[in-house]
Amino acid sequence: MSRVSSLFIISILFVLTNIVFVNSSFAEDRITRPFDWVVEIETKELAKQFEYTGSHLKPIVKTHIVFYATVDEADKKSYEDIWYHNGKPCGLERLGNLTIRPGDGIAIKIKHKTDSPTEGEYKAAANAILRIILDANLNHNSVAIVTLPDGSYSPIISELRNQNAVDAPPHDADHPLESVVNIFLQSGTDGPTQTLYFL
Amino acid sequence: MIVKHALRSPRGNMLVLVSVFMSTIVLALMLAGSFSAIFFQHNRLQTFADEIALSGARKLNERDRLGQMNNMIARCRQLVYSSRDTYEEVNTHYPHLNNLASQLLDEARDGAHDLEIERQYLKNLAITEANNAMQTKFNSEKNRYAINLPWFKASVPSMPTPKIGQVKDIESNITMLTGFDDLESYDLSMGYIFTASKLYKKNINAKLPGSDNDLNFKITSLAAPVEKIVSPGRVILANVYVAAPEDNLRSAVQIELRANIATGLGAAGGGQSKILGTAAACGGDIQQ
Repeated sequence: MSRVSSLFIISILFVLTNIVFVNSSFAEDRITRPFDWVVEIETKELAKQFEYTGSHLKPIVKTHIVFYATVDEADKKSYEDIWYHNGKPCGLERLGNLTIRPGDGIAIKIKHKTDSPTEGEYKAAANAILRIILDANLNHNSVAIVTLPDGSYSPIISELRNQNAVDAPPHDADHPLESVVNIFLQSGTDGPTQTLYFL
Repeated sequence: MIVKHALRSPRGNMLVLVSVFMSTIVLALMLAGSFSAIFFQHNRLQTFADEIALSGARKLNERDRLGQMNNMIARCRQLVYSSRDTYEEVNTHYPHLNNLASQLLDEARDGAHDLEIERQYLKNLAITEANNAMQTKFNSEKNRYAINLPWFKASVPSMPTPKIGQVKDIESNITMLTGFDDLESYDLSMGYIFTASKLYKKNINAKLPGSDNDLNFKITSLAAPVEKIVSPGRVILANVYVAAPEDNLRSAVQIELRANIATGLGAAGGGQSKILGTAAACGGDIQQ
């Protein structure tokens, strides 16, 4: 075999190897991060809302919901604000449309304005998760994962259970698990995980 | 022959003239003094009435509670509309999600019920606190306005029950919410929006269409912020005060002070002075 042919074959092999490597990396990335968009829910307790004697609406928690493509985290688009009292929604303001391409995967990310979120914020976050999951479903987007701050992981899961999300319902070989919504939750980026179901 | 006519003695004429003149002067001064006293007392009472009205008006929207309620009512409306819209789409295209959509819709409707109950509570609380503030202000200072002079007397003023209403021609503090095109069109068609300013109108019950028509979303008159600047509580002209619908939040007060006034000039003159004090609550802030 001539030297030119050998070099040509080696080049081809080199290119093919790189293609496989890149694809593997891409595939691995797609497996570890199977979503194209992040919907971020930030909770904040409002200090000065409905401050009067005998108020039944204090405190109010505001959830500010934005979304962005994973490839462009800086370009955050506002979706809506929802106001809660003790986990019950009392107001909503739609700020824009959920312009996520149907079929794209979504991750929901919970954030808190302060380092010491309140019980009202956990409740609000749990309810907002359910609302976004429903909106995503209507927009033909699957929710791959819900990431929670480490300290909020257990409280928010507990609140989701209070709002009728359940652990794995009884199932066996003859009666497979059936749910309409699966909620995969994770603490941080590599913490414990939990799956809840909405029947 | 020169006839000497007997001439009147000029001596003593000046005394009479001066006496008459001085008496006239003194009488005029007393009259002027009386009118001045009446005018002075009127001004004092007007200032007092304004202060009383302002104390009540400031209490109405203390810490922007009325503005916040108005804002939340509008947003509660969007919450119910959004939840109903989602529920109907689920029922049509995604019936397997019915349980979740139904749960979220019920929550939204419950929120609207709770908010309406709270609005009524706030209405009564604000009226009570405003009345208490005005009564306290009045009682603490009314005795200072009594006058007891030989030529002018004014009694301690009295104050009938204040009126608590709203300011004429002031719409609500809520800018029209966008985000739902159909709801926006509906609101415009129903006349809920003051088109010039894009503010929701005052004294409306902005009911939703369809199945949620049973819910109440009562929006009240309150000055809107102008370029994010909130108008302070302020004294206003008496003729711009109007009564508010019974079930609405209130944003203005009007009080009346009455005082008996008497001047003691020979035949005593007197009557009752009535002074109106009118003030508007501070305007609403933007929603946090």
